[in-house]
Amino acid sequence: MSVSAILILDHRGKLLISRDYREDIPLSYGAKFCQKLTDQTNETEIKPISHDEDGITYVYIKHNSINFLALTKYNTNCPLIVEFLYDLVKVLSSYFGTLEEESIKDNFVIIHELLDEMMDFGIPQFTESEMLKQYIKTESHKITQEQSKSISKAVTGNVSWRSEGIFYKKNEVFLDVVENLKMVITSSGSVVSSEIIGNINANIKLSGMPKLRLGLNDKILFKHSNEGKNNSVSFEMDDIKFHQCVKLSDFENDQSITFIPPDGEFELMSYRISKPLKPLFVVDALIETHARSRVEYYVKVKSLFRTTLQAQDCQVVIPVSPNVDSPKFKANVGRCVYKPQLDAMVWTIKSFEGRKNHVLRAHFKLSSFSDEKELKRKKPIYLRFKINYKTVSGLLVKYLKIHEKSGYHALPWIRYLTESKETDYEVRLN
Amino acid sequence: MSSSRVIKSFRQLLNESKEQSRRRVVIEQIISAMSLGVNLSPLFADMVKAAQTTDLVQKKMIYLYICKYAEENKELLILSTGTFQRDCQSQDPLVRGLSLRSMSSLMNKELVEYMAREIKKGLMDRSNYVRRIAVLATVKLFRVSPELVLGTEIEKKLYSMIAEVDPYVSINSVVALNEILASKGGISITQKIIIHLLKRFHEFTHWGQSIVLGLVANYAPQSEQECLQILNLLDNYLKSGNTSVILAVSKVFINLINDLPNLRNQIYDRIKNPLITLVSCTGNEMAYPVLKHIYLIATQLPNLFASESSRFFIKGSDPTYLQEIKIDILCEIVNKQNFKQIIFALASYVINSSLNEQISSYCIRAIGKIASQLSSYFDMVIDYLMEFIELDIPHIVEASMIILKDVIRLFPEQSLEIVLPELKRLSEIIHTEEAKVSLIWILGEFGEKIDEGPYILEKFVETFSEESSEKIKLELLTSVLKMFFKRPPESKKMLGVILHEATENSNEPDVIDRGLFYYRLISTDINKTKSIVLYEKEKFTRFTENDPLELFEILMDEFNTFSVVYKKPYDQFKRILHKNEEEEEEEEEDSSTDSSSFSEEELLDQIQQNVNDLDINQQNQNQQNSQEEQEIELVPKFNLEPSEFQNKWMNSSHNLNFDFELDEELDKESFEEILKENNFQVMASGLIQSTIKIFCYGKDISSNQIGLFQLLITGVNVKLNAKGTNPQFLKLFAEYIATVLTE
Repeated sequence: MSVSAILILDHRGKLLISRDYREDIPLSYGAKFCQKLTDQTNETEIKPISHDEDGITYVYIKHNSINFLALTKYNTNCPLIVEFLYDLVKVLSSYFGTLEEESIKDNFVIIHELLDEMMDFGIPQFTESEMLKQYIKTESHKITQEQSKSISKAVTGNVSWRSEGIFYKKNEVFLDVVENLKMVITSSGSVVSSEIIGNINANIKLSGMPKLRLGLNDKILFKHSNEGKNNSVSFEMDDIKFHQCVKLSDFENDQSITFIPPDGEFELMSYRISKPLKPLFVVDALIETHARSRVEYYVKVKSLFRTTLQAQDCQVVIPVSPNVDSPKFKANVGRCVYKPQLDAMVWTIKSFEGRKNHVLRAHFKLSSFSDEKELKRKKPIYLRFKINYKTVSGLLVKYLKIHEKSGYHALPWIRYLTESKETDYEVRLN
Repeated sequence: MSSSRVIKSFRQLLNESKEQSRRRVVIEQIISAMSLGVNLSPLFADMVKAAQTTDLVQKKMIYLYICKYAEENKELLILSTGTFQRDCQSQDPLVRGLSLRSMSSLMNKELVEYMAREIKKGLMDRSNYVRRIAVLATVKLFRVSPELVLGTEIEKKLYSMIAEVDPYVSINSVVALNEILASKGGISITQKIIIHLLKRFHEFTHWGQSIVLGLVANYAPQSEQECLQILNLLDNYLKSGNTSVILAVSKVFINLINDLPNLRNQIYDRIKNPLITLVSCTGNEMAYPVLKHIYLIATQLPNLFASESSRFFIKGSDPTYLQEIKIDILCEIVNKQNFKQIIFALASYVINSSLNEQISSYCIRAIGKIASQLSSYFDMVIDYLMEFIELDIPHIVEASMIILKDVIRLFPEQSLEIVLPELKRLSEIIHTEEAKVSLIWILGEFGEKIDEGPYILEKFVETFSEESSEKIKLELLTSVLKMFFKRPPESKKMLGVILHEATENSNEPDVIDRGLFYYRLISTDINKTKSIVLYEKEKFTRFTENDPLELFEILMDEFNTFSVVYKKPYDQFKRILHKNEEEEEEEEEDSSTDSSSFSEEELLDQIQQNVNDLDINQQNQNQQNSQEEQEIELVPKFNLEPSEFQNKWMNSSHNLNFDFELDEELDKESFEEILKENNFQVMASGLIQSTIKIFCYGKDISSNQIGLFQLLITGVNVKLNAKGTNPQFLKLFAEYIATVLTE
């Protein structure tokens, strides 16, 4: 179960900070791994979990080009160590805002303090950044009776993720329902695969020990596969995961989501829906090569969602042959630019209304040595967009009841967002 | 630049810095250098001395330092015990905990008694924070002297602490016992303990939950009912937001199935969806071990994930390691229903130029593997392979030919029908080494079945002398010989040519060798040669490179560990040199300090730079300080009783004599007036001959420092005697008086 040492390395594999918990692996092994990272190329990509001939396991993750490395010589629960590194990144980010090499160099005392409290002898202790703040004395700390009392009070509660005595002048809850749509369609609009990964992120600013109860619209219910029958629903989640604060037994009984939340930001729940969806956009592209000297693209994007909605920050990434130059674009809306480093043109449309067609014509010259095979191989088109005020699954928060013994009134704020990023929404050309 | 210079400057800084804030900066620099791997061991004594601070941040850093260099400073270590012990008595649980944690990390035999005493006290501490640190400290104690823990009251105490209300203490006790008793197979898992831990399962953090689940996985329930109870209770936690909990629950489920074979499918069905979700919802680094686990389960139950094949299709944005494992999974879950979909996906990856070469070759191998599993679809596979070869992209042709050869080996009769008519065309389009070798092998093995077989080979023989690849030459020799025995009339000439070329005009020893060997073989006994060359091959259905079935059983036992990720049982990758481990480690440690690849030179430069910066800061700070303090402002109505003044005058620790000259002569009254204007209080004054004698005092607002002064003024010469507690301050005070009077 235990980690021998944690190392934080910069983007080239140079050591920024190290913490040896068990002193059973010489740190020279860490140096060896750093060398590997430095020598890494695309072809010799290092796996996140690997071992060497001495049986030492290296678990490493990357965040903003900083490398976090854990060493162990035990054969233990492997996701636990990856998870710990993720949490370490999370905690450090919540301390320093954006986590960069500079912030690590400037704050290594706090990092040492954090590493001290988050892990003891290689065993993870606790990793809630709000809880940790009680132990971290970045400001000068004079030993006083008063403080020592508040500490023991804070950690005696059975709610290990929330400490007592939290106070806010204005009690508020922010819920963000974000659905990430991953979809592969063909240019004729038929769906190859689709998947929704949904998250409900909470930012809790509540005093005391509030009990919260979240009600979702009954369109969404979790599938009970062990009961053999489906609870008559129109939309089923394949899977659902809750933050540890949610009482799972209550959910099992009556599908209610009740919890005493941690303070601040956290992910309350995530879910996955793989039931086939209708596409939100269809894209068709016509590519004509003229006499091997120029190529013309005709791209049509059509939105299929209701006119009451609008997609924001739309990007259509259309791959082009690597050997093109002199681009010329004509679009009825938005702006298109050629990105040679991506071998693609990116057509940006600030806002895209429902049930609309937009077209783009692009014209390129082909360099003389263009490869015919290369022209024939069609790479997919990617769409990126955001749609506010809507979840593509139809999930809605019906109510959020907040109960605290002091009886204060608190306001819930709820936002909805559907988005596709990077390569999430893929259109394959025939 | 040597590290001794760095140490010297650190030592100097440490001794010079009296203010807490300045000291802290110096200590920060020391720890920074230390965590970058610079050996600062010689500072040990200075740091131990510095440990007697009330600043917790400094204390934390100093203890970090002490733990790091304790081993090299054994004889000095005893110095630090006083501080540790004092801190273990502190009012602040944070200090008690820190001290206990640091002291127990020293792993020093000499201190073992102190350690044991403080740990025992710590286990009883009123703060749960200290208790949980004490619990883990027992493991450290155990590593130094097992006899102080094993079978003693500490062990008993730990068992009782599992029942503690505080979840952290409880979990740490479990961890500690498990490690202390590792040689006996870990903590003794009784029904009582398991029930206790499961009852309060929701209280634990996910780390704690993972640890408890580790125990439950090794627990054998006493009845089927108990087994079902555990299943029901843990079922909820498949919805946990934490990956390690989900995998740990899966492990418990898998282990429990052994007792409930009739629930097997149902249970796997329960863990299927959570695992798939993890793949899409977590970061790449986490998706990797999860996919490895799915792969392992898929090898056992291919149909479980068969309907979910599209979840394992690769994305261009996936790193290579994820793409590979996803392809591996697709190979396992392929069945008659999803076959077309999977093959189509794999084929599209092959020709997708945005994926790297490694992956397209990997996909081709996967397609070959699928052909060996689902023999009824081999024709489709061959069609794809032929298409790939026609793409004429070197690495794709290479991989496809190799796989084509393997498919032919597996299904000779059926596949040859398709491949044979194409051989001539293939021989014209392929150029790479491995691909040619495969083609030549096919020609040698089956070339006689088509009319032009020998002539295709002949084409290769014609260019034999120009061929630079040894592999191709060797394969060609063998294939021509085979062909000779099958189609002698057409091949006789070609055999003669190639044997001549190989033995007379080759530079490669192996080629010459094989040529001579064949030549002698034929000349000795031609019939025997025939039987050797064309021996009857056994039909086979499985490549030995494929993994043995037993491996998977072992891996299922080691579910949720690194073994699954590496696809190797722990025995195969764990450290082999356990016996001499300690000695070896010491050696390695030495080498690490000598030739550590964290480029020492560069580091020292950087540290020196930091230290210099610090010096500059310090100077700036000093200047700032003195500037601030030059503008000393005195408390307007500060009064001391004459007795108090006298008392202070006699007992002041510091004394300063300061002489200066005035611009013009003044009388006693004007002196007193000037002093009073500037808030100095005159205690007494008098005239002795022509010398004015004044006793006065003042208190600074910002620093609260009190200064006492005796002024002896003769003409323009002033003798000042100042007394106070802070020498630096006294000097500033004296200067202040001088400026006041001269103005």
